[in-house]
Amino acid sequence: MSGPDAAFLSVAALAAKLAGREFSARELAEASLARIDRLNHRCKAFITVTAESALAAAERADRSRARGAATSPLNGIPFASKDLIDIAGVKTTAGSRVLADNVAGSNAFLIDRMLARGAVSLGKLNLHEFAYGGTGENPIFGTPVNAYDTTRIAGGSSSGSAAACAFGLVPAAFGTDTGGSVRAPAALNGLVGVKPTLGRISIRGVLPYCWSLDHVGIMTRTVGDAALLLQAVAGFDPLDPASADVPVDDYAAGLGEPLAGLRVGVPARFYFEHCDAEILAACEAVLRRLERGGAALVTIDLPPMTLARAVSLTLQMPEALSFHAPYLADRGSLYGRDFRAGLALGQCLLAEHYVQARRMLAQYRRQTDAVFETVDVIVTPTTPLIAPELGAVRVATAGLDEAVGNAITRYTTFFNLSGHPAVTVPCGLHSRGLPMGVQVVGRYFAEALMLRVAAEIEADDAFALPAPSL
Amino acid sequence: MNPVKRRRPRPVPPSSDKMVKTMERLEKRTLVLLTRQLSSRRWTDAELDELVEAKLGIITAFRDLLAELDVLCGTDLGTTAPAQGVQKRTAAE
Repeated sequence: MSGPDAAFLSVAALAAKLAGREFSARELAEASLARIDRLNHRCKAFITVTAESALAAAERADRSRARGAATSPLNGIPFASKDLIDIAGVKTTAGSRVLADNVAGSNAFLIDRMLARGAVSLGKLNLHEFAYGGTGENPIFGTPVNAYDTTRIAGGSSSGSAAACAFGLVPAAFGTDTGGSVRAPAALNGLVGVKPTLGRISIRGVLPYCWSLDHVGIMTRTVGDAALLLQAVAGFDPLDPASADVPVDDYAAGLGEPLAGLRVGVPARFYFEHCDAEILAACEAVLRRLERGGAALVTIDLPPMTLARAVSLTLQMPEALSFHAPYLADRGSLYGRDFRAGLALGQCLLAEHYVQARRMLAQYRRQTDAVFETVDVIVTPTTPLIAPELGAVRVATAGLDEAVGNAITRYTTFFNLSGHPAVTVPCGLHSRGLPMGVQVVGRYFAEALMLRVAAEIEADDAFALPAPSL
Repeated sequence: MNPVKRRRPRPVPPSSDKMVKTMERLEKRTLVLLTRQLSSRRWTDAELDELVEAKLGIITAFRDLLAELDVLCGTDLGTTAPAQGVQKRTAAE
């Protein structure tokens, strides 16, 4: 198997070809590894490539299929994981020199789930150091670039996950999302990115950044693929205190079903402000498309967003400082400048700030949940801007000048606070040749309906993206 | 002599503007003292400078964040307890 067409196939298409014996899992893994070898120096997606164990896993998947034991569509499917997610025997560096020698002793919950289904891990993906930052820049391992324009960033913090999928190195990748770190880079790179309900995917075996807001997320090329992967890794983990003991739905079952009667919430404020005009127009087109499909658009009021970023930071930095304290003492000089400054901020916040932020979190959740009494999903742009240029520190978008990292995650952060599931799906190509994304937010644990709406958007050719020219 | 009975003023939550105006502007020396006297950790001048005037494009300057935190702490959240995890589906579903 070779060639760009195969590189950009979906998980479902690859699964069909594997089932039809068009190629073996080993051939697929070899082709993926060859592509990583050829392109990783450009895109900086991978930190660690585990070629030997990948080929061994692929051979096991082939043997399993030969004896008729391959029941999962993920059997033989390559994937890769953000380098915060533990894989036994492989380094988890978190994109930092601090953990350069940190070899994981066991698999993260989600890795166990994937391997049990015969999926083939190709390695660990680049990120903003310790997931601290929306730009995904990494001076140690190199900054992942955007597949549609390599002078621009992939975006972060799961920058390697986005670049790996967008450059056709893997059909699916895992990331983490504390303020938008899966959805934002997915949107900037023309991918589907899912952040499920808080607690839906166990975070056991995932290096923490902020326990209160950390979510595992999924990046794929299609909504159907996201449903497949979510099905594999969602579920209760009694060893993760934050894991939700709520039954897992069939995420693929409703995809393609009509949306007649659906109530789509459109925020009256904040989400359509200070946004690139073409992204606004694309989102408007998505809303009209949903309306033509039988959905009713309902103007909604979400809680005021004025303090949302302050609440988020006030939770993030003390929690990060608490986790990093032993490393700061031992090897503090190995941290990047920006992350150390963030940890210093965590040192200066008062206990009152932290407690009040956690109380505000409870209020946000209650208020947002109340909105879902009148609507089934909420639709917003995923990001207010297209991928910024490499090295940009500040950016002005429709009259608002802000730090690039803040701009990238401006529309995503709140749903980490509220804990509601959200997915980004492409909604067309900007005139500058870069992808745009629209965000669909669902009720708690209603990922199935949320994905159904995303699939409806994806099914419209008007929002489809060409593969990047690499 | 009868003690002068003073009427206790009714607490009036100040507007967010007033809150910010009553708080003095954060100075670097405050952070230097705070980080030295409340913890054995050491932060560099550059790191504390970043808190006063953010230049790296990642965090909001602490100076600006403090103003927002002052508003946050002045918000009456009643008996709302700190958030825990999410453990159930939305009732409306």
